[in-house]
Parts: sequence; C-alpha cells; structure tokens
Amino acid sequence: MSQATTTVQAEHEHPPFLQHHFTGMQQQFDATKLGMWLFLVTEVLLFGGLFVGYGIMRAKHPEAFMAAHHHLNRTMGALNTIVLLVSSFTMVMGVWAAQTSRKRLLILFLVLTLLCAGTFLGVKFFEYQHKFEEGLLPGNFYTHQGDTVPGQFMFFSFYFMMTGLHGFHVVGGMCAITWLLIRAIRGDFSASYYGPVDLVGLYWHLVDLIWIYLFPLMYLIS
Amino acid sequence: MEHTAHQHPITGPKVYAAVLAALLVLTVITVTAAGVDFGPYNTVIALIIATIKASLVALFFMHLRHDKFDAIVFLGGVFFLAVFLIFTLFDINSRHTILPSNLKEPVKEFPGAPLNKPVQPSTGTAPVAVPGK
Amino acid sequence: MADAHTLTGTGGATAHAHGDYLDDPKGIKSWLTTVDHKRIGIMYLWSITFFMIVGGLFAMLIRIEHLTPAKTIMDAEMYNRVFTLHGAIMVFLVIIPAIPGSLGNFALPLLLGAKDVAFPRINLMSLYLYWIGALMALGTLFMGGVDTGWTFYTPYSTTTGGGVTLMVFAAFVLGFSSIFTGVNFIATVHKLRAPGMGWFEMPLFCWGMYSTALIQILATPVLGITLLLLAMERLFHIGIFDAQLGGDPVLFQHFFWFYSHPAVYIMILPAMAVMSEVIPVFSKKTIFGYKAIAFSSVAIALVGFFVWAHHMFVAGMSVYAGAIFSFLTFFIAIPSAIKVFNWIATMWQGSIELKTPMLYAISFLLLFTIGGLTGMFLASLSTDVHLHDTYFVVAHFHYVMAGSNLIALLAGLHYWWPKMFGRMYDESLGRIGAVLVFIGFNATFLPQFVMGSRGMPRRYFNYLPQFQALHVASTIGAVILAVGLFLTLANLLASFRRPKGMVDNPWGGKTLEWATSSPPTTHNFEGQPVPLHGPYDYRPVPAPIGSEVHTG
Repeated sequence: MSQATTTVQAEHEHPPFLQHHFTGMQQQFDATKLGMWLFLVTEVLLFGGLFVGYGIMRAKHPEAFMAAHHHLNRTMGALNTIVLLVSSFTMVMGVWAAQTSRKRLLILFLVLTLLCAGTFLGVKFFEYQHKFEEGLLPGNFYTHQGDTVPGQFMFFSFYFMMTGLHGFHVVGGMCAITWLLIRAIRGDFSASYYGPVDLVGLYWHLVDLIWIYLFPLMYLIS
Repeated sequence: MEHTAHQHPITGPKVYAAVLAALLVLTVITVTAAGVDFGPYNTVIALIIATIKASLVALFFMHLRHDKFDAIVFLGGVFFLAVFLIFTLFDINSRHTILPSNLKEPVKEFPGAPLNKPVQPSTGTAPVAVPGK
Repeated sequence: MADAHTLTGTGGATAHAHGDYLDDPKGIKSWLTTVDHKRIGIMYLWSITFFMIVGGLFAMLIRIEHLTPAKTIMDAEMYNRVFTLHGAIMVFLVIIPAIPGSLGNFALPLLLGAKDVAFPRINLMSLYLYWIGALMALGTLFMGGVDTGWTFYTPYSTTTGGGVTLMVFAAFVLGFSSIFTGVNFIATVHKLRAPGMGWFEMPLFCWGMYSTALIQILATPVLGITLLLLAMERLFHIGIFDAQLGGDPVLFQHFFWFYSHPAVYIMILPAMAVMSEVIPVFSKKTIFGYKAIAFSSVAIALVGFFVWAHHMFVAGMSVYAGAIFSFLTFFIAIPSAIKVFNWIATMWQGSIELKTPMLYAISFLLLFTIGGLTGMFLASLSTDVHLHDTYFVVAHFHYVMAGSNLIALLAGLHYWWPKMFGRMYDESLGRIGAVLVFIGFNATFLPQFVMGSRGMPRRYFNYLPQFQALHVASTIGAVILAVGLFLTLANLLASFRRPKGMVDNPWGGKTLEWATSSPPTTHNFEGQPVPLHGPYDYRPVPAPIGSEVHTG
C-alpha cells in the first residue's frame, strides 16, 4: 500500500483574486469569513475583559461611578451613538451595493461611512478636550477639584481605557474602509468578488456593537 | 456548509432602513428610560435595550440570521466571557463573609483623590470578620 | 503535473514548483518574506530552540545557586530576576508557541492535504510578532530585569522597579502572535481539508491543534487586556488592582488565570496531539478510540475554562468559589485519563518499534501520568493549603509543562525531522539522548516533589540545610538533562552532514504528509491529494473512506 493518495485535476479557470492555496472562490470566501468571525470573537473577549473590570469596580463603588458619570455630556454621547448607527447602516448598504455590482453606490456609501466615522472621532475629540481641561483623567492624573463623592478617578480610568481602545478600533476601521474605497474606485468589487467589503463591514459592525454597550454603561448610569 | 454562503438571498435596502429606524428608536427609548427612576432596574433596562440593539445589528447587518455556524462561533465567545464574569463575580460577592480583605461595608477612608494625597491603609480599622477556616 | 491553481499569488516563485521548499527559492530574503507554512514552521523551530537554550541556561543558574543553602553564585535579587526570566522565557517564548508554531505550522496543512494554512500572510505576521515580543522580553535585561515571577502578581508587579512594563508589553505582543496562529489553524481545519476528508478522517494531530487554537482564540485576548490593565496600573495608577485606591489585587489573579490556566492546555494539547500521531505509527496499529481522543481534546479545551481559580485557593478568594473550582478541576482528569488509556490500548498487541520518537512517546506517557496525578493533590482544597507555593507545585508543573510538552516536541521533531529536512539523524544517538533526557528529567524533578511535600517553599533564595541533599540531587539531574538535550541537538544538527533525499516515508506512516516527497515541494503536493483510507489504517488492505474519493 504505497500510494495513499490520488489527485484531483483542477477543472476551472483561475479567477483574478483567488489566492494560490485555495481551490476556489467559494473556499476563499468561506475561509476568510470564518477567520474574520474568529477575529471578532477575540475582539469581544478583549473588550470583554474591560467590561468585566468595569462591572466589578462599578459594583464595588456605585456612588463614585454614579457621581462621576455626570461629568459626561449625555447629548454628545447620544449624538455619537446615532452617528455610529447610521455609519453601520451606510456600511451595510455598501456591502449590498457590492453584492449587486453597483460600483458608484458602493463608493458613495463607503465615503458616507468614512464621514460618519470622522464625525464620531470629532465629537470624541471635543469630549476628551473637555475632560482634559477639567482634570477628569485616569488614575493619578485625576485633578478635578470639588468632588463630594470620593473615588471618581476610577470611573475615568475605565472611561478612557474603554473609549480609547474603541477609538483605536474606529481609526483602524477607517483605514480599512479607505483601503476598500481605493479598491472600489479601481473597480475590484462586484457580485462575484465582494469578500473584503463584507469582512470590513463585519468588523465595522462590531465596533458599533461595542459602542452600543459603552453608551448606556458610560453615559446613562442612574 | 461549504457551499451555502453565496446562495443566501441578498438582503435589500428596505430591510436595512427598517433596522436602522428601529435602532434609532431604541436609542431614544434608552435615553428616555435613563431619565426615569426605576431604582436598581435602570441598569438592567439599559442593558436589555442594548442587547436588543446589538442583536439587531448582529442578525441583520452582520447577517447572522443566515449564518448559523458563525452565529455559534460568535455566541461561543460571548458565552466564555459570561463564564469569566459570573465566576469572578461569584468569588467577589461571596468573599466578604470569610475574609477581611473584602468587607461588605465600603471602606471608610477610601481616598477622595489619587496618589498625590496621602492615603490611609484601608484595612485594619474596619470591623474584621475572622476567617472561619 | 499541471496545476491551474499555482499560477498566481506569489509571483515567479511558483513557476518551478518541483524544487523542495528548503532550496526553492534560495536566499535569506526569500525566507524572511516567505508565506510558506513549512518555512515559517522551520523559522519558529530555530527561534524556539534558541530561546529554549537561553531559558535553560537560566534554569541551570537556578540549580547551581541551590547547591548550597545560602548564597552560591548570585545574590537574592539576581536570583529573583533569573527565575522570572526562566519562567517568562520558557512559558511565553518556548512552551506556548513550541509545538503549534513549529510542528503545527509545518505539519497541519500537510496532514490535511492543503497547500498552506488559510491565511499565510497572517501566519508570517505571527512569526514577526513573536520575534518582536522576544526582543522586547530580552530588552528587559537592559532595564534591570524583571523580578515578579512570570505571573506578574499585583501588588508587587505594580510597585517594583525594573522592566516590568516592557516585559508586560512583550507578553502582550506574544499573545497576539499566538492568537493569529489560532485563527489560522481553526480556519484551516474547517475549510482546507482535502476533498473527502471528513472531521473523523482527520489525523488526530489536527484535532489537538484545533482544540489548542480554540483556547488561543478564547483566552489570549483576556491576557492581552489584563496586561494592558497592569501596564496602565503601573503607568497611571488607574486603581483597578490597587486595594489602596479601592481596587482588588486578587482580581488581577482572576484576570491572569482566566488566560493562563487555559494556557496550560495550550501547552499540553499540542503535546497530546503529537502523541496521537507517533504512537499508532510505531505500534503499526489503528489508534484505539479515535473519537474518544478527538472529543477529549475538545473537552479539555472547553472544561479548561472553568477551573482557573484553583490557582487562587489561598490567595484570599471566597472559600465557596474555592470549593466549586476544586470540584470542577477534577473533571479535567477525565478527558486526560481517557487519552492516556486510549494510547496504551493502541500500543497493546501492536508491533511496537522502539525508535527514538516512540521512546519519547513512552516517556511522555510516564511523565504526563505523574504530572497529572500530582495535579489531583493540588486540586484538592485541603492538601493545597499545605502544598501551595512549595516545590511540589514546581515539580508538578514541570512534569506537565516541560516533561510533557518538551518531550512531545522532541518526539514530534524526531518523527517529522526526515519530513522537514529529508535527512535522517543517527538512530542510536537519538535513543541515548531520549533515555538521558528521561533520566535527567526525573532526577531533577522527583526530588522536588519530596522537598515540596516537606515544606520547601518555591522561589526562595535560601533554604534550610535539611533540603540540601535533595537540591543537590535535583541539580545533578539538571546536568544530566542538559547533557541529554545537547546530545539530541547535536545529533539532529549532525544529520545535515548526511545526504539529502532518503526515502520519503521512513516510518511507514499512513497520513497524508508521508504521501508527498521528503522534503516536500513548495506547494506540498502535486495537485490535490485525496485520502483513500483512514489516517491510521495499518491493515494490509485498508478500507476506503468513501465512494466520492475515487472520482479523482
């Protein structure tokens, strides 16, 4: 029994975006999609560690968290939530445009998504600026005067770590969307090849999803 | 499983628009609900609404309703996160009867400002429950 | 053979696909920019070998220091740094990436009949992250070292000086290296199996790697965030782990062990995966209990997430939580024992060849059984109060981490060495090395069980004179172990002086990697291989695994 294998001949032509080690576009699509979901799971657990830390510290110091969150601007938080939800919508519309080979719509929706992301970061910038001015900073950089409830620095430790890490992910998403935009203008995507749009879309929705939890936990404590 | 992903019906703009509308309505609801005092249930309500929103995003925008296997992968991640949270909380909430290091009463000299002010050590003055080993 | 799939992607390298992967193309640049899983595996192998030598040197320093009860060659502060670096290097740079990074990367796609892992570029990135993390870890040497132990427990780690922050970021980077390997392996196993190879026709190595990858994906991100929180605590005093600021130092241990206990199974599952390949080949017999072994791998991976706080029984944790975690910990013994019994049943009535890999495999069975059973002592709440933080713990985890993982790495390395390099090492020297490693290992760590149960605490610089005889015995064992390891390394390296191109399948293996040339070509197989029979079918006339495989 020397021969354990036999071979299967390749039976079709080579599509332009197929990587050499996949046997076909379908396998490539499935594998990369699974890979993206696995990556999203790691993201959930990465942020999850912070959520667990937040939950435990908030359970320990409810008054401090309650008092500290009043320093946040609820309107700005709600505005950013809406901006991010709309960006998720424009992103998924971009995926739809790619799936249906609507090149100009795809470009339009990607640009809109980028604009929303930029707006989000802009609002975030003004919020951070306000916190810096007031000395509402993490740990031993907390210099805010006139607190009646002690221990509020802990809330801002988590506020900056969680929104900061989320902000990094927004920036990463913007880079990825820009890359998509360049490829979309080049005309790479169509109904037969839209994998990257789909995958970046998944990532972008996860960024949105994390914010959906961050918003009530940071801005709406009551 | 290998040959299903492309054959899903492509969800159209109408569905996406409806989902977006639902998400925006839920955002308004959660902000409104935060203004009403439900006692300890405020956080619960906020988290339930957030979970509904997250489910909408996951099911429609991320297409998990067509994607059973990826849904299992994703929920698996959430499950292990829940394991982490629940067991850790269990430890922390059942510690106080045993050891002085985690008293149920908040420690009184909890510092108002961080390290730039002198801080009292936080154990010792509070009533100590002797470990019952 | 014309293969339409090899035409694009990596440029000209694929045009002449008949050279073997080691020489085609030549040049250091082609290695550093490769996306070939085999080359990445080989580079991992050499990196890990290097760090194993570094970590081993630190271990020898520890053993030499303990020749006398007081100071022998270094002072106490230096001793703290030496055991920390030994632990951190061995855990993060050697044991965790050892088998998945080297043997896993090399063999997994071959065993599945795939051309590469699912994401070759991410695989290369994982290797680069490993190197970056390694450089950062070594960089701490120039910042006064690290003296926290590899576990970085708070509050000590947030207050001590030295390069703790850099070491923490090093472990953070290494964690992402591990995650990328995990993502790759899961996607590869799911989507790149050869046509006709169902889940239960996969070699068991793939099940082991799959289970390992599950842990890498689910646990490692939590390590990432833990280390980030620790770094923030050091830099900004954010308060989460600082009792004076209203935080909870024991919470750090929860965070740390939620990763690091499953990480123990990142270390052992690949070792078990190697065993499931080596034992049937050298017993010339179908593996006993295929599904039991496959499912027990997944069970270990999943149950491993429910036991982490057994590291914290005496850390100030709630005793109720302690009781639950103790209870849950015993469940790990079930799948572990299932595997050992199945391997022994595989060997039973087989025609066993005591070649070097098989000698290592048998060593593994013995060492793992000792390591596993002593774990039961530590899992019991009341005995753990006595044994925790003693040399008993040190001996226990060296048996399961070094004794099992390292031995399995050596078993797999000797098994796949002809496949990797197309050359054969000297068999008798290999066997002598295996025996020396086994003797040396036991001589090093058996005395530590005795010391520990008599109360010798771990990580202590000085010790009572009554422990000296046992410490000296342990040091002698370490020397034997070192001699055995260097002999093995020299024997493997000496094989490069022999001619390349021996028989393709020296062991008579039935898995797919033996169906291609040794060493394989860049694209592993000529065309798409299809398994015709099960992976361990040693019958004279193997049974076909399915009708569809004959269409090729």
